[in-house]
Amino acid sequence: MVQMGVSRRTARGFSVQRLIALLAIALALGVISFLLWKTLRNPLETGLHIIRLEQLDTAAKADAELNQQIARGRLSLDSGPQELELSRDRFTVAQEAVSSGQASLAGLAQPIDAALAHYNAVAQSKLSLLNDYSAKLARLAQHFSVLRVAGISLLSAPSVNASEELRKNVMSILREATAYGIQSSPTNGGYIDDLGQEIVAAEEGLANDAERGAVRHLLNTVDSMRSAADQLQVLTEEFDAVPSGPALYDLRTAYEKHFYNLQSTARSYRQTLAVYAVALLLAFGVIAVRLRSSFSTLDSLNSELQNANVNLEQIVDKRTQALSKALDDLKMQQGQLIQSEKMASLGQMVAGVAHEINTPLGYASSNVEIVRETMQAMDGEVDAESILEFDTLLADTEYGLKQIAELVMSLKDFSRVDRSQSQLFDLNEGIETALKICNSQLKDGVKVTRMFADLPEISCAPSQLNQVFLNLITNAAQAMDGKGQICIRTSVVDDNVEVAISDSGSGMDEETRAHIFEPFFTTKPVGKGTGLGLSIVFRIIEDHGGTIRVESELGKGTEFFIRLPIVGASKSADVISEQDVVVLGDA
Amino acid sequence: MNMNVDTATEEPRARILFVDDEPRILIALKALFRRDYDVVTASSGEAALEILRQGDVDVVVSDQRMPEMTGVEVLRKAKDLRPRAIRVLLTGYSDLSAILAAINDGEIFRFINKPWSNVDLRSTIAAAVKASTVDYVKETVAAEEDLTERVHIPGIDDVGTLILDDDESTRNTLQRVLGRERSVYTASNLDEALNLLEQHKIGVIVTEIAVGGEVVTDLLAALRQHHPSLVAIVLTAKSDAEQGIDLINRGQIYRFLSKPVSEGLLRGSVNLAMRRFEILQKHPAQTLRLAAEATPTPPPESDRRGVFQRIGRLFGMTA
Repeated sequence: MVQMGVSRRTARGFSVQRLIALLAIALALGVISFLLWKTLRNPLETGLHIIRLEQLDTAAKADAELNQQIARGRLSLDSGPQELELSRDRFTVAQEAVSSGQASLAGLAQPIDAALAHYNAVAQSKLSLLNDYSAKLARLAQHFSVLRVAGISLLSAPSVNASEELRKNVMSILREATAYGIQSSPTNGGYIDDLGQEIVAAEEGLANDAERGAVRHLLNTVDSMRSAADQLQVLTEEFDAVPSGPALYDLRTAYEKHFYNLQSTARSYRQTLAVYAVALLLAFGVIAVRLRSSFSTLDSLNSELQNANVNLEQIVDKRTQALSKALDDLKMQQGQLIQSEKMASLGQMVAGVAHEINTPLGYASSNVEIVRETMQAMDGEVDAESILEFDTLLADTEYGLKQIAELVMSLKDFSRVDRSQSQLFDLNEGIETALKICNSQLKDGVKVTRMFADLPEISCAPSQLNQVFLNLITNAAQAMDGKGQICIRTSVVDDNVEVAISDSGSGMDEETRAHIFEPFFTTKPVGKGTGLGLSIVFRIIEDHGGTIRVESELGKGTEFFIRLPIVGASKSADVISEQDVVVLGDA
Repeated sequence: MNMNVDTATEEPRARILFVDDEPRILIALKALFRRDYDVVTASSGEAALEILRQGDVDVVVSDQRMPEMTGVEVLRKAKDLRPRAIRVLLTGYSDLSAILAAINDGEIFRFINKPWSNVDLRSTIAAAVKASTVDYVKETVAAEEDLTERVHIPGIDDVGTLILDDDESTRNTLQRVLGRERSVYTASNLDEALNLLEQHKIGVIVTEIAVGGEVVTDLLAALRQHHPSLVAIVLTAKSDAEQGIDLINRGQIYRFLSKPVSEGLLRGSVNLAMRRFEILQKHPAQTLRLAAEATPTPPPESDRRGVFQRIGRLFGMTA
């Protein structure tokens, strides 16, 4: 049952399974305690049993003793009825002990009660007979003593003494009468009668009436005694007929039978207990074996689990690394996406702005030119001073308009709207454009030196490289805090174009320098920089097959070196290998 | 609608139509040109077309970004209404698709950015007026001739097509597609192209924008100068607005196609270009209508391998 609870590992409801296990354990304990109680209760019974058996023995002994006393009662007439009284008392006590004492047999079982009732009834009748017997015995004793006195007095009478024969007869009758009283079944009654005849016959010869009276008295006494002895004999026989012995035997038998039943019940309980205990032990053994195997399974599982754990940790580590790399990539891509989105929306804005500004710019500058021409035609009509003044004003206006036009052009060039992603491009141009765009950030204190060499056009994505230059120039300007020098050098080194952008700014330490190209690394306060700028720069240069490196000294300044290959760098950007990319079939 | 007809002068003056949704532009242009030309203005595409329907015009100058009708649309319709009129786009900003449409649909003469320089604009308009004096000869549309089913007949179709591209698979594809109809020569660089031009009679050149790291605009400009009847088609994967404008103004290219292109469009374009070549051969005056901006003669050191001198030599005699 317990096993069941354990073995049902796969049971659905864990609580139900647990409940069943608990019930099984409770049941097993209940059964074993019941059996123990049944079995352990027996020694108490056994103690009583011994007492009961002793009591029954005592009762039997008392009964036998009483019977003996009754049988010997006539033999000890002189000693009186003390012995008999004692025997009777013992009998009564034994009977009471059996029927109503502390260890009585009453109430044990129905057959015992019946036997006990029978025994009590028998004992009662025996006791009442015993009373009669005692009275009769007392009478007999009285007659006997009277007879002895009468005999002695008769013998001492002179006439009796005179007659030898009478004397002999009196002596004989006394003797015979005594024997008659004592014997349980006297055979000398006839002889006593004969002797009485002879004594009566001899009575005639006596001297006086007194003597004759004495003889008569003796004979009467002999008769009385005889009748008392006979009555006593009858009682004795009745007494013997009372079946106290068998009743007691029956009682004992009934009790022993009952006890045997109890014993056999107890034995069967004990056997059951033993069997049950063995079963339980077996069950425990099985459970233990199962537990053992469970434990070993658990152990192996545990070790497997530990191994798995270790593996898992490794896997998790790997995954985590992969994930964080993916996250970094994603962030990078997101950054690039943001950047390209920014560029795209900038492009759209520039497209609109260019058109909207160029239109008024168109007529404004055209008009200024016309006015200027007209002014020249008006020469002489207005005084020279005014003409000069107008001239200056118109020149300024033209200058301003040209500035606006240039700014718009730069914006357009920078955003490269509608420009091919990959084309031949003069980097000097890109740098110029970038400088124009971030002109506002280059305050008066910043001096920009251009040292441009003639560069071959390189195949690249100009909008991306413009971003690179803008980024580096902006960083340089920010590093200088409004005062200093930016130097931009371009040159051709072997098969590469090199652009070096240096500033006289704060510079950076080794630690910073090691990280500047990592995404999200920034030295600017939170919210000021995304930390993406240089990482995107790095990526763009890498995509172009170029290299970027940085030299910096704290407090002195920083210089970035970019090298881009002159030929074939961005070939991969728009390689055309499939024929249908060139020409699509007519669908 | 603004319609000012100046009838004061005696000799017939060129009639120029300016289209712009910004009236101040129109005022400025009128002020600039009214002395020399008969200036007509329209503030919308619809108004411009109405003017074109009513009377002849020599030059049409239109803005690109206008409500309701774009400049390219106006010029395309002007081409149908008045084929002789020379078409010019004058715009503050134009996206790539507009530029492609201006070349392919509008067949425009010039593309001018705002703000303009009065001097340049005057010379451009003068050139346009000059070009407009030559009447337009339309391609004789050989009625319903299935261009795609044509088969190359040696001896008759002996005018070849030159393909200039540095990508071999592109060259092969184009040769396969176009070679069924006519002789096709392929070149992977400018030198090869020039050799082929020297050796064969070539009517159409199909070229990528940049070949072997060199932009072909200069080549096309030089060819325009010295071999004006040669018809150029640019087929490129690197469509670029600025270069497109350059190819119009300096190269007067016939078509600007983006890779990938459908086979039908490519063959149709080449066939049309070949017709164009034939007309230009037959009517040399027509080339005046294609007069491109003069390319300043490049300094000798930048003329790599003497390409342009060679072109000069080559076509100085033939053209």
